[in-house]
Order: sequence, then C-alpha cells, then structure tokens
Amino acid sequence: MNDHTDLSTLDARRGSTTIELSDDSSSYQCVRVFGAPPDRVFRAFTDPADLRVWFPSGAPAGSEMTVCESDAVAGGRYHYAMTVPGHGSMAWHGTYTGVDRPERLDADEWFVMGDTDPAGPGTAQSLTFEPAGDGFTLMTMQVDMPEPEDPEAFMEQSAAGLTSSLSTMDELVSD
Amino acid sequence: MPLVASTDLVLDAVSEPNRRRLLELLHHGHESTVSELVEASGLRQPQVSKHLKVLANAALVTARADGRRRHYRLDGTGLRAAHDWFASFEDVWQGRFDVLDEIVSTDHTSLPTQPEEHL
Repeated sequence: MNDHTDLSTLDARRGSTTIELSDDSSSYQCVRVFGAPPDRVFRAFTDPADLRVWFPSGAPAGSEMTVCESDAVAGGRYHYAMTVPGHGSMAWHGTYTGVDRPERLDADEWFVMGDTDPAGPGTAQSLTFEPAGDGFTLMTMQVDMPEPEDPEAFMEQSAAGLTSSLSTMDELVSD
Repeated sequence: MPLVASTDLVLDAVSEPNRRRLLELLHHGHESTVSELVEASGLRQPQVSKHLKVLANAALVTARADGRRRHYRLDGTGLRAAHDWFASFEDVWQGRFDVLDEIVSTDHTSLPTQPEEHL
C-alpha cells in the first residue's frame, strides 16, 4: 500500500484526472480514482455495454460510436470506431497482451484516422486497478508511445508528446 | 479530439522530435539564425532548414530578414493552437472518466442499459 490509499487523499483525488508526461515525452501516465471496487472498474474498461457509454462521452455533440468490440482475453482484440462531425471517422485497434482480472490490463493500440488499417508501431498501454480505501479503485494508465514520426498515427497516440514544450507554450501563450 | 485545419499543421509539425528540439532552442535563445541552430542542435544545415520550413508553415516560427541572414523566433500563433488542442485532450479524458465513474459507482452489480442520450 502507498500514500494513494490514504483516505483524505483519496477524497481529494476522486473526480480529478491527472495526466503526467515523462521527462523524455515518450510516455504519459493518467491517474484517476473511481468510486467502485477494481472488478467493477475493470469491467467498465472491457465491457462494450459500458464502453459505449463512457468512451465517446468526451467527444463533440453529434459524435457517434459506430464500432465497439472488446474481447478481453490475452491475445484478444478490441476495436472502437467513432464518427465526429466535421472530422470524419477514427478508430482504435488494440490487442490485449495481458489480462489479469481485475488487477491489470495490458494492450498494444493503434489509432487511425479514416478507414485506414493500423500500421507501424503502436502504443503500449498498461492499466492497473488497485483497491483503495472504501471500495474505491485507484486506476493508473501508463501509455508508452513510439517515436511519433508518422503524422497519421500521431493524434491520439502521442497527443501528450507535443507537451514536451508545454511549459514553454504556457509562458508564451500567457504573455 | 476536435481538430481544426491549422491544428493539423501544428500537430504534424511538433510530432517530430528534432523539430520540438528546435522550438526549445528558439525559446531559450529567443532569436537564432540557421547556423546558430545547426550548432546548438547538432543537426545538419539542410535538415534544420527543412524543419524550419515546416515550423514556419504551421505558424510555430517566424523569420526576420537581416541582409542575407534570416533570424528565426517562436510564433505564438501555432503554439497557442497546440496548447488549446492539448487542453481539449485533457478535457476528453476528464469527461470520459467522469461518466465512467458515474456508471461504476451507481451500478456495482448488473450491466447498465444503454442510455441513448449519452451516445
């Protein structure tokens, strides 16, 4: 157990998503506390019925999730696709490389715009679900990005990569 | 995830590590010539010129002519677009996880039905 499990810290953390970029911009970590035990949170990440509700929820109005398949076994695949008004279709293709219900989920993922097939190196994603306090779950999502040489594969995969200069940008845009 | 045209150019431009390095150098040096950037980055001159062209096209740098030399500096236009875009990326995760939290904390046992209004 670590300091994340301290209850007062948990209360403060719940509801807030933190995203931290590694120093060399090659990975980022996203941390979030959820108000349910790990097995329930694990299911929300792998069950299409749940995914269809939460996954598209941050997208612009009129967006539609057109494909939502997930076979959460080692070697199984997932495939999500969305259409976003004004931006066409986009898809997430993944292969589960490790499934340890309800503690851990590993996958390689390829994000593509349009109907193109995934190509090149994907991102390596690891999700861990730790029991935390009063039936809560501390989720940590670690995303390791390939060298972002391919603009087509860039958008979601290395979204955080562009923030190697975020502090620089902050200084500039707040001028 | 929403993109506008200029954001595409900016994100493509900053997706290349050497171009991000040049942006960082320009930030520290405020204004630099190509040869200064060649020396500071360790890249070859044709590479630096090529990268600067991409950065200029994305409104990430501007050039000022001084006789035969050109002095490059950061352009806030492109940086602002990148910054705004990244903020929207964080918002996407925050929004998604708020809904996920709602699902799991109100339903610990059975599968939720699919509420159309969320789709």
